[in-house]
Amino acid sequence: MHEMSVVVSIVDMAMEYAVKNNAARVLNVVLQLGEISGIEARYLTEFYPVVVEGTMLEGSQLVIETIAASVFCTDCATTYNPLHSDLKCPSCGGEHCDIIDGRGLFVKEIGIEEKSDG
Amino acid sequence: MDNVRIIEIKKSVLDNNDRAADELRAKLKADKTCLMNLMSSPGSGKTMTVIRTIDALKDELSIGVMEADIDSDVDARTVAATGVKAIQLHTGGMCHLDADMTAQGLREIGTEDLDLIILENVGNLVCPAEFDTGASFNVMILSICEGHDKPLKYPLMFTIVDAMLINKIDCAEHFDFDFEKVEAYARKLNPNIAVFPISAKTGEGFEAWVEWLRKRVADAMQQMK
Repeated sequence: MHEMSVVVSIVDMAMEYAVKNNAARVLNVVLQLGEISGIEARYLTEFYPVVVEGTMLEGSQLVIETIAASVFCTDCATTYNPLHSDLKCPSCGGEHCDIIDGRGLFVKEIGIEEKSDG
Repeated sequence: MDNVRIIEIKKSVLDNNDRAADELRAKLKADKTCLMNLMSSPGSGKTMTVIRTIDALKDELSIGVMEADIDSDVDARTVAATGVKAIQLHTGGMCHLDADMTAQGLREIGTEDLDLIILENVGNLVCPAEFDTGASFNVMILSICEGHDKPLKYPLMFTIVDAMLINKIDCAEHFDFDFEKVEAYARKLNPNIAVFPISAKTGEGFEAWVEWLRKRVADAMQQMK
Protein backbone atom coordinates (compact mmCIF):
# COMPACT_ATOMS: atom_id res chain seq x y z
CA MET A 1 0.00 0.00 0.00
CA HIS A 2 2.56 2.54 -1.14
CA GLU A 3 -0.15 5.08 -2.02
CA MET A 4 0.04 6.42 1.54
CA SER A 5 3.68 7.44 1.18
CA VAL A 6 2.89 8.84 -2.28
CA VAL A 7 0.14 11.01 -0.77
CA VAL A 8 2.57 12.24 1.88
CA SER A 9 5.05 13.25 -0.88
CA ILE A 10 2.27 15.04 -2.79
CA VAL A 11 1.15 16.96 0.29
CA ASP A 12 4.76 17.86 1.19
CA MET A 13 5.34 19.22 -2.29
CA ALA A 14 2.06 21.19 -2.36
CA MET A 15 2.82 22.62 1.08
CA GLU A 16 6.32 23.72 0.04
CA TYR A 17 4.91 25.69 -2.92
CA ALA A 18 2.01 27.06 -0.91
CA VAL A 19 4.31 28.47 1.78
CA LYS A 20 6.68 29.89 -0.84
CA ASN A 21 3.74 31.67 -2.46
CA ASN A 22 2.37 33.24 0.69
CA ALA A 23 -0.74 31.06 0.83
CA ALA A 24 -3.22 31.22 3.69
CA ARG A 25 -4.65 27.90 2.57
CA VAL A 26 -4.69 25.51 -0.35
CA LEU A 27 -7.99 25.11 -2.23
CA ASN A 28 -7.08 22.28 -4.60
CA VAL A 29 -4.22 20.10 -5.79
CA VAL A 30 -4.22 18.90 -9.41
CA LEU A 31 -2.35 15.66 -10.20
CA GLN A 32 -1.51 14.00 -13.49
CA LEU A 33 -1.47 10.25 -12.99
CA GLY A 34 -0.09 7.86 -15.62
CA GLU A 35 -2.22 4.85 -16.55
CA ILE A 36 0.73 2.49 -16.03
CA SER A 37 2.23 4.22 -12.99
CA GLY A 38 1.15 1.39 -10.70
CA ILE A 39 -0.54 3.91 -8.44
CA GLU A 40 -4.26 3.63 -7.82
CA ALA A 41 -6.28 6.85 -8.01
CA ARG A 42 -8.95 5.63 -5.64
CA TYR A 43 -6.43 5.04 -2.84
CA LEU A 44 -4.93 8.49 -3.36
CA THR A 45 -8.41 9.95 -3.00
CA GLU A 46 -9.12 7.85 0.05
CA PHE A 47 -5.90 8.70 1.93
CA TYR A 48 -5.73 12.37 0.98
CA PRO A 49 -8.19 13.76 3.58
CA VAL A 50 -6.38 11.85 6.33
CA VAL A 51 -2.95 13.19 5.40
CA VAL A 52 -4.05 16.83 5.02
CA GLU A 53 -5.90 16.94 8.34
CA GLY A 54 -4.63 19.79 10.51
CA THR A 55 -2.54 21.31 7.69
CA MET A 56 -3.17 24.31 5.43
CA LEU A 57 -4.46 21.78 2.88
CA GLU A 58 -7.34 20.62 5.08
CA GLY A 59 -10.61 20.78 3.15
CA SER A 60 -8.85 21.12 -0.22
CA GLN A 61 -9.90 19.10 -3.24
CA LEU A 62 -7.66 16.52 -4.90
CA VAL A 63 -8.19 16.54 -8.67
CA ILE A 64 -6.71 13.63 -10.66
CA GLU A 65 -6.17 13.88 -14.43
CA THR A 66 -5.15 10.71 -16.29
CA ILE A 67 -2.14 10.48 -18.61
CA ALA A 68 -2.79 7.76 -21.19
CA ALA A 69 -0.22 4.99 -21.59
CA SER A 70 1.75 5.21 -24.80
CA VAL A 71 4.51 2.95 -26.11
CA PHE A 72 6.65 2.84 -29.25
CA CYS A 73 6.92 -0.47 -31.12
CA THR A 74 10.62 -1.10 -31.78
CA ASP A 75 9.73 -3.62 -34.50
CA CYS A 76 7.54 -1.45 -36.75
CA ALA A 77 7.66 2.06 -35.22
CA THR A 78 3.95 2.27 -34.39
CA THR A 79 2.91 4.24 -31.32
CA TYR A 80 0.04 2.65 -29.41
CA ASN A 81 -1.68 2.28 -26.05
CA PRO A 82 -0.63 -1.15 -24.72
CA LEU A 83 -3.68 -1.36 -22.44
CA HIS A 84 -5.98 -1.41 -25.48
CA SER A 85 -4.22 -4.29 -27.23
CA ASP A 86 -3.14 -6.84 -24.59
CA LEU A 87 0.35 -5.25 -24.64
CA LYS A 88 0.90 -6.35 -28.28
CA CYS A 89 1.47 -3.94 -31.16
CA PRO A 90 -1.84 -3.59 -33.04
CA SER A 91 0.02 -3.16 -36.37
CA CYS A 92 2.58 -5.98 -36.40
CA GLY A 93 1.69 -8.05 -33.32
CA GLY A 94 5.20 -7.42 -31.95
CA GLU A 95 5.91 -7.40 -28.23
CA HIS A 96 9.03 -5.22 -28.12
CA CYS A 97 8.42 -1.65 -27.17
CA ASP A 98 9.80 1.38 -25.34
CA ILE A 99 7.51 3.22 -22.95
CA ILE A 100 6.90 6.82 -24.00
CA ASP A 101 4.31 8.00 -21.52
CA GLY A 102 2.03 6.92 -18.72
CA ARG A 103 4.50 5.82 -16.03
CA GLY A 104 4.69 9.12 -14.17
CA LEU A 105 2.83 10.93 -11.44
CA PHE A 106 3.06 14.71 -11.40
CA VAL A 107 1.73 17.55 -9.30
CA LYS A 108 0.49 19.80 -12.08
CA GLU A 109 -0.67 22.82 -10.08
CA ILE A 110 -2.26 23.96 -6.86
CA GLY A 111 -4.92 26.57 -6.24
CA ILE A 112 -4.24 28.77 -3.24
CA GLU A 113 -5.85 31.60 -1.34
CA GLU A 114 -3.22 34.18 -0.53
CA LYS A 115 -2.77 35.76 2.87
CA SER A 116 -4.38 39.19 2.89
CA ASP A 117 -1.79 41.81 3.75
CA GLY A 118 -2.60 43.87 6.81
CA MET B 1 -11.94 36.14 -4.33
CA ASP B 2 -9.19 38.09 -6.11
CA ASN B 3 -6.66 36.66 -3.71
CA VAL B 4 -7.04 33.19 -5.23
CA ARG B 5 -4.18 32.05 -7.48
CA ILE B 6 -3.11 28.97 -9.41
CA ILE B 7 0.51 27.98 -8.86
CA GLU B 8 1.98 25.86 -11.63
CA ILE B 9 4.26 23.10 -10.29
CA LYS B 10 4.57 20.35 -12.94
CA LYS B 11 6.92 18.26 -10.87
CA SER B 12 7.17 14.50 -10.61
CA VAL B 13 6.09 13.17 -7.22
CA LEU B 14 8.78 10.51 -7.33
CA ASP B 15 11.39 13.15 -8.28
CA ASN B 16 12.71 13.56 -4.76
CA ASN B 17 13.28 9.83 -4.40
CA ASP B 18 14.85 9.51 -7.85
CA ARG B 19 17.24 12.35 -7.04
CA ALA B 20 18.16 10.81 -3.68
CA ALA B 21 18.73 7.46 -5.43
CA ASP B 22 21.08 9.04 -7.98
CA GLU B 23 23.03 10.77 -5.21
CA LEU B 24 23.35 7.45 -3.42
CA ARG B 25 24.67 5.73 -6.56
CA ALA B 26 27.27 8.50 -6.93
CA LYS B 27 28.39 8.02 -3.33
CA LEU B 28 28.62 4.24 -3.74
CA LYS B 29 30.67 4.77 -6.87
CA ALA B 30 33.08 7.00 -4.95
CA ASP B 31 33.35 4.38 -2.19
CA LYS B 32 33.77 1.59 -4.79
CA THR B 33 30.90 -0.36 -3.26
CA CYS B 34 28.31 -2.31 -5.20
CA LEU B 35 24.73 -2.40 -3.85
CA MET B 36 22.38 -5.21 -4.83
CA ASN B 37 18.67 -4.72 -4.11
CA LEU B 38 17.07 -8.13 -3.54
CA MET B 39 13.27 -8.30 -3.67
CA SER B 40 10.64 -11.05 -3.41
CA SER B 41 7.43 -12.10 -1.68
CA PRO B 42 7.60 -13.01 2.01
CA GLY B 43 8.70 -16.61 2.42
CA SER B 44 10.37 -17.04 -0.97
CA GLY B 45 13.69 -17.92 0.66
CA LYS B 46 15.52 -14.57 0.48
CA THR B 47 17.53 -15.00 3.66
CA MET B 48 18.61 -18.57 2.87
CA THR B 49 19.57 -17.51 -0.64
CA VAL B 50 21.59 -14.61 0.80
CA ILE B 51 23.41 -16.95 3.20
CA ARG B 52 24.35 -19.45 0.51
CA THR B 53 25.44 -16.63 -1.80
CA ILE B 54 27.65 -15.18 0.95
CA ASP B 55 29.21 -18.61 1.54
CA ALA B 56 30.14 -18.82 -2.12
CA LEU B 57 31.66 -15.33 -2.33
CA LYS B 58 32.94 -14.32 1.09
CA ASP B 59 36.52 -15.42 0.39
CA GLU B 60 36.82 -13.14 -2.62
CA LEU B 61 34.58 -10.18 -1.71
CA SER B 62 34.02 -8.21 1.44
CA ILE B 63 30.23 -8.42 1.89
CA GLY B 64 27.70 -6.60 4.06
CA VAL B 65 23.96 -7.25 4.40
CA MET B 66 21.11 -4.89 5.25
CA GLU B 67 17.92 -6.68 6.20
CA ALA B 68 14.74 -4.62 5.86
CA ASP B 69 11.58 -5.67 7.63
CA ILE B 70 8.63 -4.01 9.25
CA ASP B 71 9.73 -5.44 12.59
CA SER B 72 12.10 -7.91 14.36
CA ASP B 73 15.82 -8.57 13.83
CA VAL B 74 15.59 -12.31 13.24
CA ASP B 75 16.97 -12.08 9.69
CA ALA B 76 19.95 -9.89 10.61
CA ARG B 77 20.90 -12.32 13.41
CA THR B 78 20.68 -15.28 11.04
CA VAL B 79 22.87 -13.58 8.45
CA ALA B 80 25.36 -12.26 11.05
CA ALA B 81 26.02 -15.89 12.02
CA THR B 82 27.85 -16.29 8.68
CA GLY B 83 30.46 -13.82 9.92
CA VAL B 84 29.64 -10.92 7.58
CA LYS B 85 28.56 -7.50 8.73
CA ALA B 86 24.75 -7.45 8.95
CA ILE B 87 22.32 -4.80 10.16
CA GLN B 88 18.56 -4.70 10.47
CA LEU B 89 16.50 -1.82 9.10
CA HIS B 90 12.98 -1.29 10.40
CA THR B 91 10.62 0.42 8.02
CA GLY B 92 8.12 1.25 10.77
CA GLY B 93 5.14 -0.25 8.99
CA MET B 94 6.14 0.88 5.50
CA CYS B 95 5.87 -1.69 2.75
CA HIS B 96 9.07 -0.76 0.92
CA LEU B 97 12.44 0.95 1.27
CA ASP B 98 13.09 4.24 -0.45
CA ALA B 99 16.42 5.88 -1.23
CA ASP B 100 16.51 7.90 2.01
CA MET B 101 15.98 4.82 4.17
CA THR B 102 18.64 2.97 2.17
CA ALA B 103 21.08 5.86 2.64
CA GLN B 104 20.48 5.76 6.40
CA GLY B 105 21.23 2.04 6.41
CA LEU B 106 24.42 2.56 4.40
CA ARG B 107 25.61 5.17 6.89
CA GLU B 108 25.04 2.68 9.69
CA ILE B 109 26.76 -0.27 8.02
CA GLY B 110 29.60 1.86 6.60
CA THR B 111 30.43 1.42 2.92
CA GLU B 112 34.17 2.14 2.88
CA ASP B 113 35.46 -1.38 3.48
CA LEU B 114 32.74 -3.31 1.65
CA ASP B 115 32.81 -4.50 -1.98
CA LEU B 116 29.23 -5.75 -2.09
CA ILE B 117 26.24 -4.84 0.04
CA ILE B 118 23.14 -6.98 -0.28
CA LEU B 119 19.96 -5.11 0.55
CA GLU B 120 17.19 -7.55 1.44
CA ASN B 121 14.10 -5.44 0.76
CA VAL B 122 10.74 -5.86 2.51
CA GLY B 123 8.95 -9.02 1.35
CA ASN B 124 6.49 -7.65 -1.20
CA LEU B 125 6.24 -7.87 -5.01
CA VAL B 126 4.40 -4.58 -5.42
CA CYS B 127 5.74 -1.50 -3.66
CA PRO B 128 9.51 -2.13 -3.62
CA ALA B 129 9.38 -2.13 -7.44
CA GLU B 130 8.07 1.45 -7.43
CA PHE B 131 10.90 3.02 -5.47
CA ASP B 132 14.48 3.29 -6.70
CA THR B 133 16.70 2.49 -3.71
CA GLY B 134 19.88 3.72 -5.39
CA ALA B 135 21.10 0.17 -5.94
CA SER B 136 23.68 -0.71 -8.59
CA PHE B 137 21.40 -3.51 -9.80
CA ASN B 138 18.15 -5.29 -8.87
CA VAL B 139 17.45 -8.99 -8.39
CA MET B 140 14.24 -10.79 -7.44
CA ILE B 141 13.38 -14.25 -6.20
CA LEU B 142 10.24 -16.12 -7.18
CA SER B 143 9.71 -19.43 -5.40
CA ILE B 144 7.91 -22.12 -7.32
CA CYS B 145 5.19 -22.39 -4.65
CA GLU B 146 4.02 -18.91 -5.70
CA GLY B 147 3.09 -20.03 -9.21
CA HIS B 148 4.38 -19.27 -12.70
CA ASP B 149 1.75 -16.60 -13.37
CA LYS B 150 3.36 -13.96 -11.13
CA PRO B 151 4.95 -11.94 -13.97
CA LEU B 152 1.41 -11.42 -15.32
CA LYS B 153 0.12 -10.26 -11.95
CA TYR B 154 3.04 -8.11 -10.80
CA PRO B 155 4.53 -6.89 -14.08
CA LEU B 156 6.53 -3.92 -12.79
CA MET B 157 8.69 -6.09 -10.52
CA PHE B 158 9.71 -8.31 -13.43
CA THR B 159 10.36 -5.25 -15.60
CA ILE B 160 12.85 -3.53 -13.30
CA VAL B 161 15.07 -6.47 -12.28
CA ASP B 162 18.30 -7.59 -13.91
CA ALA B 163 17.92 -11.19 -12.74
CA MET B 164 15.19 -13.53 -11.52
CA LEU B 165 16.05 -16.46 -9.26
CA ILE B 166 13.47 -19.27 -9.29
CA ASN B 167 13.89 -20.79 -5.83
CA LYS B 168 12.81 -24.04 -4.17
CA ILE B 169 13.31 -26.17 -7.26
CA ASP B 170 13.91 -29.09 -4.91
CA CYS B 171 10.12 -29.06 -4.32
CA ALA B 172 9.24 -28.92 -8.03
CA GLU B 173 7.63 -32.35 -8.15
CA HIS B 174 4.95 -31.22 -5.66
CA PHE B 175 3.86 -28.19 -7.69
CA ASP B 176 2.56 -27.59 -11.21
CA PHE B 177 5.09 -24.85 -11.83
CA ASP B 178 5.83 -24.27 -15.52
CA PHE B 179 9.44 -23.08 -15.91
CA GLU B 180 9.06 -22.32 -19.62
CA LYS B 181 5.93 -20.25 -19.10
CA VAL B 182 7.38 -18.14 -16.28
CA GLU B 183 10.46 -17.37 -18.34
CA ALA B 184 8.36 -16.48 -21.40
CA TYR B 185 6.10 -14.18 -19.35
CA ALA B 186 9.12 -12.47 -17.75
CA ARG B 187 10.96 -12.05 -21.06
CA LYS B 188 7.89 -10.50 -22.65
CA LEU B 189 8.18 -7.73 -20.05
CA ASN B 190 11.97 -7.68 -19.86
CA PRO B 191 13.85 -9.31 -22.78
CA ASN B 192 17.26 -8.99 -21.05
CA ILE B 193 16.32 -10.60 -17.73
CA ALA B 194 18.74 -13.33 -16.54
CA VAL B 195 16.95 -16.39 -15.13
CA PHE B 196 18.45 -18.87 -12.66
CA PRO B 197 16.54 -21.85 -11.22
CA ILE B 198 18.02 -22.52 -7.76
CA SER B 199 17.48 -24.32 -4.51
CA ALA B 200 18.74 -22.36 -1.52
CA LYS B 201 18.26 -25.52 0.50
CA THR B 202 20.36 -27.95 -1.58
CA GLY B 203 22.58 -25.47 -3.43
CA GLU B 204 21.45 -26.68 -6.84
CA GLY B 205 21.83 -24.02 -9.53
CA PHE B 206 23.97 -21.72 -7.38
CA GLU B 207 27.04 -22.05 -9.56
CA ALA B 208 25.46 -20.20 -12.50
CA TRP B 209 23.82 -17.56 -10.27
CA VAL B 210 27.01 -16.87 -8.30
CA GLU B 211 29.02 -16.64 -11.52
CA TRP B 212 26.54 -14.06 -12.88
CA LEU B 213 26.75 -12.08 -9.64
CA ARG B 214 30.56 -12.25 -9.57
CA LYS B 215 30.68 -10.87 -13.11
CA ARG B 216 28.08 -8.21 -12.35
CA VAL B 217 30.06 -6.94 -9.34
CA ALA B 218 33.32 -7.02 -11.34
CA ASP B 219 31.66 -5.00 -14.15
CA ALA B 220 30.32 -2.47 -11.65
CA MET B 221 33.78 -2.18 -10.04
CA GLN B 222 35.34 -1.67 -13.46
CA GLN B 223 32.96 1.23 -14.13
CA MET B 224 33.84 2.74 -10.75
CA LYS B 225 37.53 3.00 -11.54
